[in-house]
Amino acid sequence: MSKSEKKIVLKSLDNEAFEVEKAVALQSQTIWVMCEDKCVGNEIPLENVTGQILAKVIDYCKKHAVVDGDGDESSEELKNWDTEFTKNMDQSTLFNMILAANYLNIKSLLNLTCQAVADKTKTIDEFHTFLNIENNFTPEEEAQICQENLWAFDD
Amino acid sequence: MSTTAASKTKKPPLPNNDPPQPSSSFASLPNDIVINILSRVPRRYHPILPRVSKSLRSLVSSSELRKTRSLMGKDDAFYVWFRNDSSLTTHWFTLSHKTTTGKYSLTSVPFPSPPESYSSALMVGSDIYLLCGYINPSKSMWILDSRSGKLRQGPSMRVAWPFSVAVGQVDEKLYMFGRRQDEEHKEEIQVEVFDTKTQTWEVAPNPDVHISYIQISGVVSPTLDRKIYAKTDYGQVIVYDPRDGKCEKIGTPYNISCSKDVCVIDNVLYLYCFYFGLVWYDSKKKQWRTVKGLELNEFSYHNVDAMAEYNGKLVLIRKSSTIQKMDQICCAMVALEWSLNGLDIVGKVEWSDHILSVPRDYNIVHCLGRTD
Repeated sequence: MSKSEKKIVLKSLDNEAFEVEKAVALQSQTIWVMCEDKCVGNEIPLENVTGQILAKVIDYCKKHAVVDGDGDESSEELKNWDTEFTKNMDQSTLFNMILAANYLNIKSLLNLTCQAVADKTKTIDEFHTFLNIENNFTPEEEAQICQENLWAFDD
Repeated sequence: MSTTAASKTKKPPLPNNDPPQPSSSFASLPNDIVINILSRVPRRYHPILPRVSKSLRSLVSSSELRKTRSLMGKDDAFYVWFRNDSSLTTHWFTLSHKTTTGKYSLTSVPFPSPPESYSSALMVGSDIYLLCGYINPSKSMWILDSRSGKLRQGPSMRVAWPFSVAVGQVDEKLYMFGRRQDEEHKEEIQVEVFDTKTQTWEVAPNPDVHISYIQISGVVSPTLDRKIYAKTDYGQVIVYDPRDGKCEKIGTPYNISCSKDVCVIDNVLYLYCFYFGLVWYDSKKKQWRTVKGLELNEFSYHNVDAMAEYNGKLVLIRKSSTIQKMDQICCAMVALEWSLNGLDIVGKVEWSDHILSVPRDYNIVHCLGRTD
């Protein structure tokens, strides 16, 4: 197998091209299927992912790829790396990572990013601010729900 | 080896191709992803979720969230309470899943027994509230912490009840329907309410209709108008409004023998009836309808002894007598969903099995689900 066959070019929505090892890219089930179907000239267009996000996804895949044994890391190390990876991501990046992981069908990355969002939201304010969820209750409704749920905070 | 992004060939975006809008709203995420995220939020934070927004409120009350949690291995615990009717002793079992064989079974849990025998139980978070004497009137209440297995005595009720006929929970309050005879030896039902926050018992509005006998059933249904659903012995379901005691009666199909438990999943009321099997209440047409597609061989022409929700699915349990020394406990787990036309509810038996053998004297009192 020649060197070029082991590489693949991923093209982002904003036309940024990334050349990566096939083993790295094929962690995405979506790319896997695309490769089998229409891998023309080893270039795969990814219409739903921007270059900025794709770069991060590739970072993740590189870390998690097992290429001829070189990429094999201890699970503890990988876990720490994962934690660091999502630790400082802002909300918008995390959401876009989730959407990208969902689109590219990379289950472990989807789980990691969903967990990161869940970890960052523990209070109602965090839900409103971090997740940017609009509080669409009327003050009356809110008062009633508050009353219904008060007991839950006692312990 | 290097796998760096080698050739960055930036081209200007096409004229009609809008630049990607960063998605920064939770609302823009697909529903299954929102469920994925919410199911990772620790259970103790769940009470705040309904307060965040209307859409979150409806997602949290849907069985979808509990199903996803279950798939992630974050199952809530499920207990079955047996009473030995000879010795009046209490025995607890929990539903456990063997990953090696894929089979479910009931495993004994060595919870301590309260000094008296009780007739009702209700689970709030991880606490099991044991209420009302069984045969012997009792005012006392015991609280069993299912996490630590520790038993503590709670505040006493106002009246010593010989039987509790139904218990139910609405928000932070537990409602206990006690049955006793008045001076003229007429049976009467009175309701007492326990506020878990202030830890006090009070008198609650009595049902505004005459109910001679309700069977023990405790349904936690904040999703169904914050009312308590209890089954009477006379082929009716009583819907009690704890605010004013107003009751609505729903007749059961042909008034035939039905399960003592009623169950609410995703705002639908379920009942198990002899001959008809599992039925649901169509509140628009005001009639009970059979759940379609169910093949419950173990349960055909029998009744169920207990029924409860478990991780968004319905668990049916019955005791079947055999010629052998031991009786068999059969269990079925049923997944429920609306048919494509939205008119019927279709059930699918996920598994059905014998999950325990018990001596004849052991009877199922209740099953309870821990939701934390």
